[in-house]
Amino acid sequence: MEPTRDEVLISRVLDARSGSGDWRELELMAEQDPTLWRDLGASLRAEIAVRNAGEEVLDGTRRIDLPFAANDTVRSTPSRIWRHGVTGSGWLAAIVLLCVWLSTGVGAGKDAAAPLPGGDTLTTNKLATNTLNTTTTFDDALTSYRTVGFEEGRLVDELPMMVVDTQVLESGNDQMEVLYLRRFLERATVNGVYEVGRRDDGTAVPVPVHFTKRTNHGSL
Amino acid sequence: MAKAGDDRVAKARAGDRIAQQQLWEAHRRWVATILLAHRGAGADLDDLLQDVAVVFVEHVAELRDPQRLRPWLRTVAINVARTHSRRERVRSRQVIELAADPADPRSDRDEAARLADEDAQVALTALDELPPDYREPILLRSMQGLSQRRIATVLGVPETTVENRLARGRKLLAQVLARRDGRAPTASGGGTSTFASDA
Repeated sequence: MEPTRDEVLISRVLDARSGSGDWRELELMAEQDPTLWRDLGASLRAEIAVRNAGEEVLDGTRRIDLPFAANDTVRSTPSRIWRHGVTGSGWLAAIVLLCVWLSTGVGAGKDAAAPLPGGDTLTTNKLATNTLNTTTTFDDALTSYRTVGFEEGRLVDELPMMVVDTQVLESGNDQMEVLYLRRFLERATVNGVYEVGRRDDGTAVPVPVHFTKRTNHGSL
Repeated sequence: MAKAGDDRVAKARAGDRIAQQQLWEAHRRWVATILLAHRGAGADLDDLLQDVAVVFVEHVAELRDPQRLRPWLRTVAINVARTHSRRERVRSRQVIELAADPADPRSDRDEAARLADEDAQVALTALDELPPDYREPILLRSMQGLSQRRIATVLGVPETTVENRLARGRKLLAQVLARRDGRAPTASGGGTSTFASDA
């Protein structure tokens, strides 16, 4: 449907494209029909409203980030849990995994220090900046623990395992159950050191240990 | 500038996540504008935008010409909006048949609620009453600040057609807003509630 002439002229005014001839023509038309000024005002109001709405809505789209598959590393913060590949009860699983991941710090992934395409690399301190990481197995979690721990300096060393007990299983397949102890040496910085003291009545109380400089690491 | 953009597209096509993320951030508002122009009434913009993001990651490698990224994104956005509208129509029918409840629980109230300005809220929903042929040039002009010539290039129509659609669309939008505001629209132009667009 073709627009009327007054509609074209008003639209040009809104776009700041109206020349002096357009204004003269609009004024002549408005002398015959003064409601044109009201139309101009209404169109201007609508234009401003659309622009304001656009700003609000488009600013809000910052929440929507790209979905990347599990175990991928992205520098952006996950602002929305993605439906991609997660449907139905999968939503719940994704949320639970996210909570576990955030609360335990597990999940940086074995590719955590891998250089990204484009030459960029990620730092390891990215619990808050990594995407959903669906560490699903014990071994994956352990690998993540070692990787992140060593990179952050929290993990100093892993000592040889100690076998605590063994038991031949009755399955008859020459299988043996082994109970063993993993030993990890971790390092932490603390603000205060306490030792256990005793009151006269024998109850235990924490007693602050004051020191100025230590050359050896004390037992925490 | 164009060369840097081309390089980024090339990297994105090769699977570079950083490049993909940068491209997405550079074009997200563009995609959102196209979705607003083509979405069905009540469709949630965030949902649609997510769907486009998925297509972008999965299919950007198929983009042949780096210069065609925006047109390609526009096509993707239009397809997503239309597919969503079809799904919604089917779903809506099913809801009516099964539960005799014609009310679609999902609406764009969520995003409207974020709008502080009342006029802006009304304008956004009023835009949904316009045909996409009118809606898109208005949004490209008002939200993206494109010139009529650029809009003509994007839409693949003559510049005069863009000017006509802008003029007609703005008049219709003002009428919708006046009607919602309780003000009587002026007699000039088409004052109907069902709008037809020029081809």
